Amino acid sequence: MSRVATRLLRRPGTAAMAGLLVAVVLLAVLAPVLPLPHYARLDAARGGTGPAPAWRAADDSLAALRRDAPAAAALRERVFGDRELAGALGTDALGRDVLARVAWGGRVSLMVGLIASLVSVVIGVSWGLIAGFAGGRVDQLMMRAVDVLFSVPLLFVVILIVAVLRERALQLAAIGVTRLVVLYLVIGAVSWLTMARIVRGQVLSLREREFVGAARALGAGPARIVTRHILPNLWGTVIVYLTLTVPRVILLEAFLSFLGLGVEPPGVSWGILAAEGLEQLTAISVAWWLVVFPGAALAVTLLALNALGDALRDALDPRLLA
Amino acid sequence: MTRFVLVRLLWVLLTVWLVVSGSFVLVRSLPGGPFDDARALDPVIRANLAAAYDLDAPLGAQYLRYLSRVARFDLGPSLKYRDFSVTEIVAESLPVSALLGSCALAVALLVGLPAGALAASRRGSWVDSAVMGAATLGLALPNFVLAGLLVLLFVFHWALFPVSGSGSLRQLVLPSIALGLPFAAAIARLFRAGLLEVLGEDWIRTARAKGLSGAAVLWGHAARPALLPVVSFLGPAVAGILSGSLVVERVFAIAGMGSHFVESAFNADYNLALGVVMVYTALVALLNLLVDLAYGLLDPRIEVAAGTA
Repeated sequence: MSRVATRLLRRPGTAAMAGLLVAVVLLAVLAPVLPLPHYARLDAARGGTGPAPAWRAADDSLAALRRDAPAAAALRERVFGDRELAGALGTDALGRDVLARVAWGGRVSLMVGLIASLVSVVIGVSWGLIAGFAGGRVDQLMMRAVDVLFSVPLLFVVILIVAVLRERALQLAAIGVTRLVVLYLVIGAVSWLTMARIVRGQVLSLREREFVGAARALGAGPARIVTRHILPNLWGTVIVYLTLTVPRVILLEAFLSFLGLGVEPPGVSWGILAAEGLEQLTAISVAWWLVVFPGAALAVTLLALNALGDALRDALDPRLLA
Repeated sequence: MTRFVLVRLLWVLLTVWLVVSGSFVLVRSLPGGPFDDARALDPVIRANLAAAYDLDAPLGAQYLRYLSRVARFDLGPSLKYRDFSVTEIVAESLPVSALLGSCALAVALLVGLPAGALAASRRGSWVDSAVMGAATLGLALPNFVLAGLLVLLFVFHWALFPVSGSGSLRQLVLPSIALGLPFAAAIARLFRAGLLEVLGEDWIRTARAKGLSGAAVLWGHAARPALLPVVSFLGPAVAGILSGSLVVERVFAIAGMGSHFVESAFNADYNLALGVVMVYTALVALLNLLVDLAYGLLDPRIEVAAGTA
């Protein structure tokens, strides 16, 4: 693993990309304890001002945090005191702090990216594993299904599904399925195709290897061969494609939220922020900071994840060099 | 060849049928109907509406009737725009989207191919690094972020283009760039990689030895085989441009199919949504078929055979 790490970091730019990604992730993860105004707090008096950082007495963001998460509030108070950094990246028309919104939006975007990708990994790996290991008719049928799905414009199907499920939001909420869960499941359910193809290819070749034959000769059943001999050899590939799936999934969530079909206000995600920024552009007030900063957060994350995924692919498995 | 096309057309039909059936079941299995407004309707009116829009029969019968109408290119009435049929709406908005999509594809090719060639011909120089760096950035920039930046710069900072609408050439410029540029980045990378591979071949050295200029070797000899990866990318690119137009049409207020589709999802206008999904599925599948055929034309070594669908 350390060999992989050195090979990764030797690539020019990869270390910088990793640093950027860590910065974005930290901003999102630490958002509650950072000294920022509350992301949904309206402040009409300060609406629509450009970036102008001010270190001032905390409004009610600390009080709200004390109510919701006392431990986090105590930590924040100990480190930063009763102060907050307001307006560092400007405010929107309603006076909400852009930096706080970008940080909190990042929480949702990254979370959806991670969980929906994991959903897609579960489906894709199972699908590819079963198809590759079963072989024959089953394999052909399962892979034909993947071929057909590949030629379907899935974004449209996703929008249709999300729109239909919106109508049933109340019934779904009653069984504990919130909009975020719907997003995780639906996005995950359409992002597994490449993973399935790649896993199946790997399984096909692993299946014929000698150690699998040896295990079989020793009396190991199919379940044992799959879990003990084939799965452990798949992790490298799976991790590489997971890294490459996360940015695609984040983009898909941003796309849906941008269209108003993803996360719903007052929740924030980068897609919502980008949409709001564009809506608030008028000839009278060109609030560029509302367009540039959420877009930059999204672009930096996608750029870093893509670069890391490519670098990881090259470092882990030179055979996969495209 | 004919056999190949026929088999592939059958697959296209199968895909469209699967998508239509899946979407139909999804949409019609809902308990509520499209006429459940806040105002309660008289039960008689309700029943008449349901009958008029064919929502009162058993699901199986509705499905069969829908399929038979679809086979006759009748996509049913729109549930929201009550005076229009879905076919009329599609017929009106498809050309708008097609024009935008073609322009975006043109942008992708006209920017991507020269950029890739430039990078390949100056391999290892700062030009190469600059072009490839820009391409990596372009790949990571979502089209709605790009659209926002373009609007900021070219509408509000330098008032060069109108902010929205469709119809005139000037109104088409920004949406086409926003939609096409990310694909230009991908094409530049693919074309550069393809060219670098081809430029190492023996017959390229022969062409150089005959005294051909660099440009003649690049465009006359190396370009055609190097285009193969680009051509195979065109299938996914077209699909991506079609989905991207959902967002770009909304940003620039263009009344294309994408706008209608998003509207229909909000309005619970399921006939329109179903119709648009079907048209897009058919479009993507047919364009993919065209791309595969073009592939065979570009490289005679690739045999187009039936069964490789």
